[in-house]
Amino acid sequence: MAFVSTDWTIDYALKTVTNDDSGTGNNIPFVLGTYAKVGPILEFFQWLATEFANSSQMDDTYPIESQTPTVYKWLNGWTFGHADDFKYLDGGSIEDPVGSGTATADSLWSNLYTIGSQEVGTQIYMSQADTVEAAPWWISGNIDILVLVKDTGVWTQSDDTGGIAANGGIWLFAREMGDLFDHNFGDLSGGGRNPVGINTAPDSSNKSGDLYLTVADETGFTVGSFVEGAAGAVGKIAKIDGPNNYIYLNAVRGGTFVISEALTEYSDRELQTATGQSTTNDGSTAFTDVVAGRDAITDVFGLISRDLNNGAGAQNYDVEINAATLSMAFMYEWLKYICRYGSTGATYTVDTDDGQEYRSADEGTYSEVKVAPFGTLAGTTFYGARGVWITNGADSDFVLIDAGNVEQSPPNYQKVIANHTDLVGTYVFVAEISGGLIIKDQYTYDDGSSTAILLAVNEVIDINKTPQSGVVRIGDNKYPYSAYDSVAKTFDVSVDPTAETDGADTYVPLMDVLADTITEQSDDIIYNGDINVRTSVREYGFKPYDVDTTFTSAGLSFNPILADDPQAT
Amino acid sequence: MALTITIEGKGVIANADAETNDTGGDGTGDWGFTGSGGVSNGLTTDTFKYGSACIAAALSGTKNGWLWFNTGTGTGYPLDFDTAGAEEGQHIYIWVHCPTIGLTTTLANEGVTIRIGSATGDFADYTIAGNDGSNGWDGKWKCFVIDPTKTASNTGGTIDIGSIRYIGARMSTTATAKGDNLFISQIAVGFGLRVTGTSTTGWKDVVDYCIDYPNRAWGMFQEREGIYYQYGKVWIGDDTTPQAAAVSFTDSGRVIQAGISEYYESAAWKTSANIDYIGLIIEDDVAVTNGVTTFKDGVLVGSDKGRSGSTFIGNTNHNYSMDLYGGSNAASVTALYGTTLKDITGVINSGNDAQHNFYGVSFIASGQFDPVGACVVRNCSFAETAHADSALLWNESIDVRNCSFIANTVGAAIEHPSAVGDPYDYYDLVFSGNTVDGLNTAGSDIDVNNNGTSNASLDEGANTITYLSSATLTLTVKDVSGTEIVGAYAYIDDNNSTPFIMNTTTNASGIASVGHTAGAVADATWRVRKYGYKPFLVVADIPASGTKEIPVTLIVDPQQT
Repeated sequence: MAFVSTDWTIDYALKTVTNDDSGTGNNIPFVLGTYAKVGPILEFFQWLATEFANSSQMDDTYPIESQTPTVYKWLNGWTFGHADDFKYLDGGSIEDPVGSGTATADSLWSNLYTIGSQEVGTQIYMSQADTVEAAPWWISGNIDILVLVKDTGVWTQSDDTGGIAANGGIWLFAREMGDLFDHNFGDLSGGGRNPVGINTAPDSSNKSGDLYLTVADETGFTVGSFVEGAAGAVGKIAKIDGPNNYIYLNAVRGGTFVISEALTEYSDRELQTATGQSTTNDGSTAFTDVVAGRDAITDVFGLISRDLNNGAGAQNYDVEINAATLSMAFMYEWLKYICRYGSTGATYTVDTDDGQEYRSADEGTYSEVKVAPFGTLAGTTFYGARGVWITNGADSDFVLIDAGNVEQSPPNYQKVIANHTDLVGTYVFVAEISGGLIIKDQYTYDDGSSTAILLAVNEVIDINKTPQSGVVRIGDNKYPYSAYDSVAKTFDVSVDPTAETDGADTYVPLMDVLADTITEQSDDIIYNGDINVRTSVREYGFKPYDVDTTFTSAGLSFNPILADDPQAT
Repeated sequence: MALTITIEGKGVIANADAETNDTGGDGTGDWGFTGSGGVSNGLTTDTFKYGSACIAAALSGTKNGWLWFNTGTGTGYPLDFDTAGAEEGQHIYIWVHCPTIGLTTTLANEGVTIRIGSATGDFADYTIAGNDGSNGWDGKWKCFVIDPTKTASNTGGTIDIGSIRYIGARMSTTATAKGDNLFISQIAVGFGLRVTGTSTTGWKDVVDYCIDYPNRAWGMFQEREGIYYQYGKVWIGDDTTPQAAAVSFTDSGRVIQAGISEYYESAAWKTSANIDYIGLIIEDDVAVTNGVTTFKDGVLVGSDKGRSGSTFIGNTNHNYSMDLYGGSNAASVTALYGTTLKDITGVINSGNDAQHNFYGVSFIASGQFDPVGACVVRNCSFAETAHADSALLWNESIDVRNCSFIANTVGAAIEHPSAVGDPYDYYDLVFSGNTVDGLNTAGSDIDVNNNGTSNASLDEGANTITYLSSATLTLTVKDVSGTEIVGAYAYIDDNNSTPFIMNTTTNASGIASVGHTAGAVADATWRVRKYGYKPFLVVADIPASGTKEIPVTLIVDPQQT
């Protein structure tokens, strides 16, 4: 970076100093791709000091004062000539004091710079009072910019880390898919130089990529480099699938990839250094959206009360994530995706604001998970941020923190699983036994408390022997249920039980289905101790399968022997 | 390092220490005699100026004779004083002693002469004494300085000054004398001396060197009763490239008198040397490989005054000139502190270099001082100028203050040859007793602001000089350590539009000043700026007259690097 005095014009009549590119924007770094037209405000000051220490300018008032090497002040009614002029300076702040008489009197342009290390091509972006957010005029990597934080007497404010509106407050974010995110708050109200730390690192749980291109030849392309399509799109290579000629990309910006376009590899997002690799977009479609389908995952904000069945009872949460039966890994990547740089507008609104600015379910109160605002993934386990409730996932491999900041680990949900290629059409039955007999008097029916949709028993329902949904039997009569309330001693049933005799023996098998697939599994059962069970699989034509075994902490998975019975023809 | 002193020009041609193969010159010249018979001549040790002997002749009764030195025709000989000749412009320095002037013929009959000839029959006489007059010479050893191009007192045959072989003295006696009565010692030919090297007693060292008679008798400098007599020019420094070594010539309190050498011609005593043959020239070279030239006289007092300077005195026979500016190297310095220049009627100039100082110098009955440029002239007096135009010649970058101009009646006090910078400012220039204070030769009318104590009032010339009373406005700019800041932009104005009251830069003393003749101004803007320092601004009134000085201390701006 170097200050280029020939880019600036002094208007001695208007008492303004203006960059010739202001309002046009061809030389701002984001367009130019470099900081070649941005220079230190110290050199800007030195240039003005030289210009005005000259006989031809002795009749002009002095325009600027240096207070420190990084703090400057307009003097005598001098100021910038254009609202964009400050974008061509770095390294210090400048103030137009109260009462200067200029169009920018009582304004402050503070200096903001970042320290830390980010993955190559990381675009740092800024949120300033939401209402005055500006698109980055800087390029990827650490930044050193001037920010207008006080405009003609009016401070721009952002809520600080405690949720208090702060004069000159800003938030800086670095959120590129494939990397761990970061953000931090900066208070620029004091002028001068203000450092904000921003660090990112590769996220080993976020390597799927946002999309992939089918290319003619991926040979020589390197993960971490950037691919530019001739039509203007630029993305960072997340991974390469050589056999299929796929190049997976993250953080695609600048346009859309198109069929048959030339693809060129660069080592930087600003396309300043070509690596020499190139190919063509060879697929029948321009690209394939990796995240397609994951948008079924929803996030609904609002206070909710949920019981994890871990013994802690119902607790409050602030947002419910419906994982749409997808895995925790997929859910994790999607929740990052909706918070990444560029997640703006209605599609990516999170908690009533742009997703790219989302920090927590209660900003200013909750501790933030900067690397992934909804929560992190370690191995296959999702660790939710405070107030995040997960439901309807492919599994329950998560640890949550409720709104009260108490960690809530789910119970040990286990299932009973039966597998056989001929399982379809068989009756699969698993139930607890004692002394060689199936326990059928686990509970007694409470007809007085039962209704057409509620089957009541007289005993507390044992949550460690009861699937979350399944079948409750009174004698041999089966009543499917979708949920139960252990304390209330009721099952939500779909068949009216009230014709049963009050006090009749009642029990809940661990599995009780007519198989319609080669793999049948029960709903979750909260494990708390081994259960001796009998597994029975029967269908006319097969010899009956009855084997006693144990439901353990790993659940129960069995493969019945279904031998043909030659007599059952 | 001591001084190195050489004869500028031909040098010594005869030591008068051997009749045959004199050791001077090329060592082959011989002495001889032409004249009446019965005159003895030869080497004597009875009296001499140089060494331990001299050439002598004894003339008694009605006799005449020319005791001469024959240069021979070796390399560099005979001598060529003609136009474009090897010795053009040079003078003959010859020591002569004649204890019997009263026994010689009259001046009209060439009693005693310096005779030079291209042959013994082709000669020119320069009469130096007769029984009816000797111009104050008592016959003791004296170095006569002869310009061979001068009209001779007498000639014989046809002399060719482009081929001078015979140089000596002739005497014509009319009465009886006993013993040797015409003596000649060392003969030299040259313009004068060149002095290089280093000395803090420069003039004394030069004189002591020249009058070291056992070893040399260079007549260019002589000393009588503490007064140094100068015959010919003196070059201080060297303009060869590069100058062999730094030259530093410093002295004070000497009296240097332009020497007189006369002969009798057409019934009058006249100078035997060229009218312009005497002067002082400072030289330096553009290359600083080995050093520059420093010439200082007197003692600096305070920041702009001087004392104990030497006194240089010219005479009415010659136009003593002073070229005080080598001009090749800005690092060379000429500084005169308390020096007196009297009857220095030749050219006196300096140069456009603010390092050259003239503090407390008195220019009395001298020629016109042309500073040429920005040399600093302070507390000097210009009196009784001998120049028909003026005592001081103004220039566009002149830096002269606090000087007096007194009783200049032959010419004006100051001549203005240019109107480029009109109007001009006088700062504490005091005029009294002058016939004219200012001579305008600029070709157009000019205005002069009398600032401070300046009081010029009288003008002449084809165009007028209008002297305006003014207020002297001064910005004196220093840094926090009190060191003057040179080249700071200094500005004063009432409305920040042209023309400005002042918009200039500070001089070597950190001063910017202007004369303001437009009356009092309220709330004028006074600014000083220089890159590297925080700007200065004050709003202050300007008086209608008198002086107003604002001292300014500029503070370093660490950001202006």
